[in-house]
Amino acid sequence: MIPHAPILAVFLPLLAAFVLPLVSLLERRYKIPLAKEWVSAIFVIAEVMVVFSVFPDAKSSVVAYQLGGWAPPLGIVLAIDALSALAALIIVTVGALVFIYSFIYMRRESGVEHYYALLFLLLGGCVGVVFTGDIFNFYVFFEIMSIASYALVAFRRHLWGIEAAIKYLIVGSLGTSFILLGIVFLYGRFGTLTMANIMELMGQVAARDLVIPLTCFLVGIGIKVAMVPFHFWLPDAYQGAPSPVSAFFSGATATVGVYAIARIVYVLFGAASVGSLLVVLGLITMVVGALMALVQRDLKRLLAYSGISQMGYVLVGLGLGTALGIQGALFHIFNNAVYKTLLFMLVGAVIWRVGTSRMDELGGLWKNMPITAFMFLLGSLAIAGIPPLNGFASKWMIYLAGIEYGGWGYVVTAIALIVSALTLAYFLKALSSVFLGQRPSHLANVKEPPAAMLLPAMVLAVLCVVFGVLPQLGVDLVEPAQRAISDLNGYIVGVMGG
Amino acid sequence: MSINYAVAMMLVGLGLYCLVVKRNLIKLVIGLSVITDGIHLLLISIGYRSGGIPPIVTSAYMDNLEGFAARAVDPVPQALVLTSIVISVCVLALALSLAIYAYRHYGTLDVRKLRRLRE
Amino acid sequence: MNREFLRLLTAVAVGLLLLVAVYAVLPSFGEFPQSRENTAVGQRILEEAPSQTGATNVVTSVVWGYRGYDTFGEATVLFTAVVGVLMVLRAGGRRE
Repeated sequence: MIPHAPILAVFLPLLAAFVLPLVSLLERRYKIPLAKEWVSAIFVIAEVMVVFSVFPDAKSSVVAYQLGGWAPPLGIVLAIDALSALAALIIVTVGALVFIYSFIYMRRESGVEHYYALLFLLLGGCVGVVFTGDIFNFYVFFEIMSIASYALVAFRRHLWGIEAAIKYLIVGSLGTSFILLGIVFLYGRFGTLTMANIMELMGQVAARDLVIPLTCFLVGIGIKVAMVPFHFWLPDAYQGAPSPVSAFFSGATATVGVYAIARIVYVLFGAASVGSLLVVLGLITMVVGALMALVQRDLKRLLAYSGISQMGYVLVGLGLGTALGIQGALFHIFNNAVYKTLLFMLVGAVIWRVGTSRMDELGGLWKNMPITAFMFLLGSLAIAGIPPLNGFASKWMIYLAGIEYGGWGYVVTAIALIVSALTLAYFLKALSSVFLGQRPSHLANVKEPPAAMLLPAMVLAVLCVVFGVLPQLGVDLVEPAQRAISDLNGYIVGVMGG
Repeated sequence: MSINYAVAMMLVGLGLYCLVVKRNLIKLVIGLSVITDGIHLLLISIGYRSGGIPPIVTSAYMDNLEGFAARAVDPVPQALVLTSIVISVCVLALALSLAIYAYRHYGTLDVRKLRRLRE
Repeated sequence: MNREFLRLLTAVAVGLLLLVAVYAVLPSFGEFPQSRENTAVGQRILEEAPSQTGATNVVTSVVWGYRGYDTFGEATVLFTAVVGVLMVLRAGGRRE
C-alpha cells in the first residue's frame, strides 16, 4: 500500500477539482492546448493507482486510518474493509474510463472546466462515502456526491436537463435529510458517531427502538438507488445528463448506493431481518423497471429503466442474505457497472454522431458503425444474462441463491428469470431499431466515433467477455467483501482496536 | 417531557407538508430548508444538559476544568450543526440558481408547468 | 382533489410518526451525558479537549481538531456548490 493511501484516495480527486479552474485560466491565458485534459488524466491515473494499492491490504483485514491522529471514537477514522475496497475499485475504474471518454465527448461544449471539476468532486465524494468509518462524515461526503450530481445533470442547460436537475435536487435533498435524521437518532441514542463503536453498542438496544432510525436510512438511501416507490427521478436525470455523466451515474453512483445499503443495513444495524423486505422491494423494482423499459421510445430512458431493473436483482441478492446471494449481488453490481457504463458510452457515441437518441429517428446504423453496433450487441446480451457473458454469471448465482433458499425462493428465481427474458426482449427491440432496419437517408454519412471514445468502451466490452468466460475471477473478487459483510466482529476490532 | 423535540418534529412535518402540497419552486426550496432546520434543532436539543453552560472555558472555570466538564453542554452536536448548516445553504444556493435559470428561460417557477413544457 | 388529500395525509402521518419516535427513541431533554447505553463521546471531549488542544472554546476544538475532516468536507461542499452555480449561470450559448 502506498503510504497514506486511504486519505490520498479521497484527497486526490478533490485536489484535482480545486486545481482545474486554475489550470483552465492558465490554459486560456498562455494558449496551452489540452492542459485541462492532461491534468485530469494525470490525477485520474494517480487515483486509480492509489485505490488499487489499497485493495490487497483491505482484502484480508480492515485498514483503519485515524485522521489527525485522534483515536476513535473521539476523532474521525477511515475504515476500509474488503467491501469498501471493492466499491472503490468499481468507482475509480468506471471513473477513469468515463474521463477518457469525456475528453472527446465534451470537446464541443462550453464550460468544460466546470464539468471536469464537478466530475472530480463526484468521484471524490463517492470514494469518500465508501472509505469513511464515521456516520456523520458519511453524510458529508454523501452531500458532496449529491450536489455534484445535481449540477452535472443540469450541465447541458436544456429544458430536460434543468427540469430533471430540479426534480432530482428536491427529491435527493429530501433523501439526504432523512439520512441526517437517522444519524441524529443514532447519535442521541448511542452518543457516538464512529460506526464500529455504534455496532459494539447495538446489541444492548431493543430492536423496536431501531425501527425508525433504520427506516430513515432506508428511505434516504432508497431514493439514491431509485428503489421503486422512489424511482421517478432517475429516468429524467439520466436522460437530461450528458452521456458520460449518465454512464458514471449508472456505474459508480449506483454502486455507492448498494454499498450504503450493505454497510448501513447489514453491517451497522446488523439487521439481517430486513432481508425479506429488501427481496420484495427488489422484485417490485425489477419488474416495474423492465415493464417501463419495454415501452420507452428514447434509448437513454430505456437504459435508465433497465438500470432500475438491474438494481432489483442486486437488492434481491442482498435480501436473500445467504453467502451465495450476497456474492451474487456484489458480483452483479460489478457486472452492472461494466455493461451499463459500456451501453451508455455507446449510446453517447450514437448521440455524438447523429444528435438524437430517439429510436424512431434512428435505424440501419450497423453498416456505418459496425464496431459500436457489435459492442452494443455484446452489452445487450450481457445485461440480458446470455452465457457466456458476465451478466449470466452473476444472475446465475442469484437464481441459485433463490433455489437454495427454498420455499418462496423458487418464486423469486422464477420472477428473476422472467425479467431476464423481458430484458432480452427490450434490448433486441432497441438494437433492431437503432442498428438494423431501414436507414433514414440523412444518416448515410454517419461514421464511427473517434478511437479515443471507442477505447474505453472496448476495455469494458473485453471485461464483459473475460468475467463471463472466467466467472471464478469475479467470485474471487467479491468473496472477501461478502465475508466482510458477515464478519461484524472483525470490523469492530479492526477499527476500535482489540 | 419537553417541548423541544416536539417543535423540531413539527418543523419537519411542516416542511414535508410544504413539499407535497406546493408547486412553486421557491416554496419547495423553503420547505426543504425548514425540514433541515427542524433536524438541526433536534440535534442541538439532544446535547443539552439541565442547567448547562456553553462549552467555552471562561475565566471562572480556568482552574476548575472538572467542574466545567460536569456542567457544559455537549459540544459535538454544535459542531455537527455548524457543518450541516453550511451544507444546507449550499443545496439552497444551487436550487435557487436553477430556479433563476428556469425562470429566465422558461418564464415559470411552477414545477408542473415546467414538466408540461417537456412534452 | 383526492390525490391532494392523500399527499397531505402522508405528510401528516410521517410527521406524527416522527413525533412519537423522538420521544420513544431519544433520551429525555437535558439528560446529556447519559445517553441510554453509554456515556456520550461529547463528555469525553469536554474532559480532554482543554488539555489536549489548548483551545478554550470546545466547539472550536471539535470543528478544527477532532472532526477537522468534516470541516474539510464542508469546505468541499461549499466549493462544489460554487462551481455548480457558476456552471448553471455561465455565459455562453444554450444548445437545444
